[in-house]
Amino acid sequence: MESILSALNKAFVLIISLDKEVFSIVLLSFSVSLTAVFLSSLFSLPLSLLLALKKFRGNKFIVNTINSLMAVPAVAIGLVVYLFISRRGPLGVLELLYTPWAMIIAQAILATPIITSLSHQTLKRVGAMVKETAISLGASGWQMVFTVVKEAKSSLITAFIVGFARVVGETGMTMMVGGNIKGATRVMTTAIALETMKGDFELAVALGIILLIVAFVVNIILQATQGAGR
Amino acid sequence: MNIEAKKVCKGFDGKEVLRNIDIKIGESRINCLIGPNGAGKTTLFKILTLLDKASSGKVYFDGSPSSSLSPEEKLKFRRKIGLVMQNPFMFNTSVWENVAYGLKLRGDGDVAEKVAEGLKIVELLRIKDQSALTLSSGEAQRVALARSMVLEPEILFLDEPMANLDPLSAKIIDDLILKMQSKYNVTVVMATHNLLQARRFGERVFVLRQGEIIQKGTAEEVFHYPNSSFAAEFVEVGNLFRGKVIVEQDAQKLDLGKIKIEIVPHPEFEKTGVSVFATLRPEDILLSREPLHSSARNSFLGEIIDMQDKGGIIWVTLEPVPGLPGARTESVSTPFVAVITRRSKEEMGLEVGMRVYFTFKASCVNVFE
Repeated sequence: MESILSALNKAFVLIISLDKEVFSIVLLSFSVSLTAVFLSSLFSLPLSLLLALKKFRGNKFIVNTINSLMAVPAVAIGLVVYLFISRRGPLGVLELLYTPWAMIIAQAILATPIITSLSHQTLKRVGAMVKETAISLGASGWQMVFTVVKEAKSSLITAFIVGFARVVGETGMTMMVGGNIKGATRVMTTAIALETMKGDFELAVALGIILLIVAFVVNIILQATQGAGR
Repeated sequence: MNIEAKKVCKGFDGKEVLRNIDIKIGESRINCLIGPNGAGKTTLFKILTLLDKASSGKVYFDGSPSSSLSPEEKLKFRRKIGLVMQNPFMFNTSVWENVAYGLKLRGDGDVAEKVAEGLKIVELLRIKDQSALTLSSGEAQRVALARSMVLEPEILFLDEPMANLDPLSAKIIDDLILKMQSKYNVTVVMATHNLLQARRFGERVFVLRQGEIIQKGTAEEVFHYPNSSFAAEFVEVGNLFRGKVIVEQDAQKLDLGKIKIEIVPHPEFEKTGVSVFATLRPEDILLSREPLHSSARNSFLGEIIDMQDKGGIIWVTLEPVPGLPGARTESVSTPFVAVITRRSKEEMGLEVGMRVYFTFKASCVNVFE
């Protein structure tokens, strides 16, 4: 009990004093995961729009595939990414392994099925009505798509946040491709795992608290956006 | 502009929703498409407004088949067509922005002026800043009307504009459509399953049943002379009978079982014994406390078995009473429905169970096979 209290005590000191190490780890965590979600959305959003608004052969097959991909374990994605970017892999020349970019790539791949699937569900629900209304009021193709995105805005934001929450909390995969190198690729989750194993609880608890706060804030934003949306 | 469908068919998952539809829009100011729910009205509207494609057949826009139109040409036609759906979708923004939507898409210069005018006509200018998601269905319908009307379409499609509305809202929409039609001088195509509405509006009426147009014509033609029992039942002529043609005392009559009613001689029904349908509109029946001496060929004594107040108009159901010329006892009931005003009811002191004479002209009876 005493060790927990003392760890908590020191953890608060670390957070309140804006400890440089804590700060840099949190910053890296956020920049990696936000970049991953951003890159993923560049692909997920158009794909979910296409799937929701256009009827074509194979549409259902793609939707089913994406839904199944959500169940792929993160470590499996980590392994595949590792094999691709390791020195002997097809993308080895880019020397991405154990860099933030390796983590970004793996996290983006992890987030894509989640964001696509959630966006698709939303767009499918409101899409048909918005599409018909926009077109019947004289929207061109692009104007219609823009209107659909605008109408589904809050639900799309929800999809991005869920994707972010998933990747920012990912440990094993991130460690595999990032290497958990201090000052380079050490993010919140990998740091917590390492420090705990070392028996150095202050930093672990401090990061754990921050991660908890992040989860809390994300949840509040989710509630707020869902309350505002349809 | 005009839109013409030729032999249009549409199927969903092997189910045929529309069959061989021929329809031309643009000749009359107000067209009514009537039919029960599920007859294919909405599907037809979507095809005519370029929201959906026909499975077979062609749709011509100002004479050009839709299949030959480029996306730009399609957009050009779409922008001359308005569509207000049955449950209009409101964008998640203010009432004002909803009405401004189409104008902004077109880069119109007078957005503010036109939106204000549109909202004024539907009498919703006072709630222009309200979120459109908070509107009642009647208000949403009015906003949707304004939203389409401010675009000044040449043809406006209204899909069941009064469905799901309370009577007061329905009345407002009803008046609005006529007001806007005359203000913006637009060709209106209205789908409805409400006959009174079709009768009130329709210059040209199309009766749709199970994906087929089974009768088209002027409102007069369709309502007074329905060409099938379905059309008759659907247009709620009020009195639909089935009987045999007979000749009695040199007059062609229809034997309905309990009574025989005189009809205008039809050469095509000269052969007696033919089983036919007959319709008689409730407003063509005259009620009186005393026997009438008039030119009308049909007059019977009837007992009032039901009276219903439908907004100032009373629907009176009468059962012919035996013992009078033409009436027989042994037959099944043949109720007649007549309409009178509330004042007539009060002045005549009518009540259920009372006996009155009901009279109608032979020429008011519409006979068909």
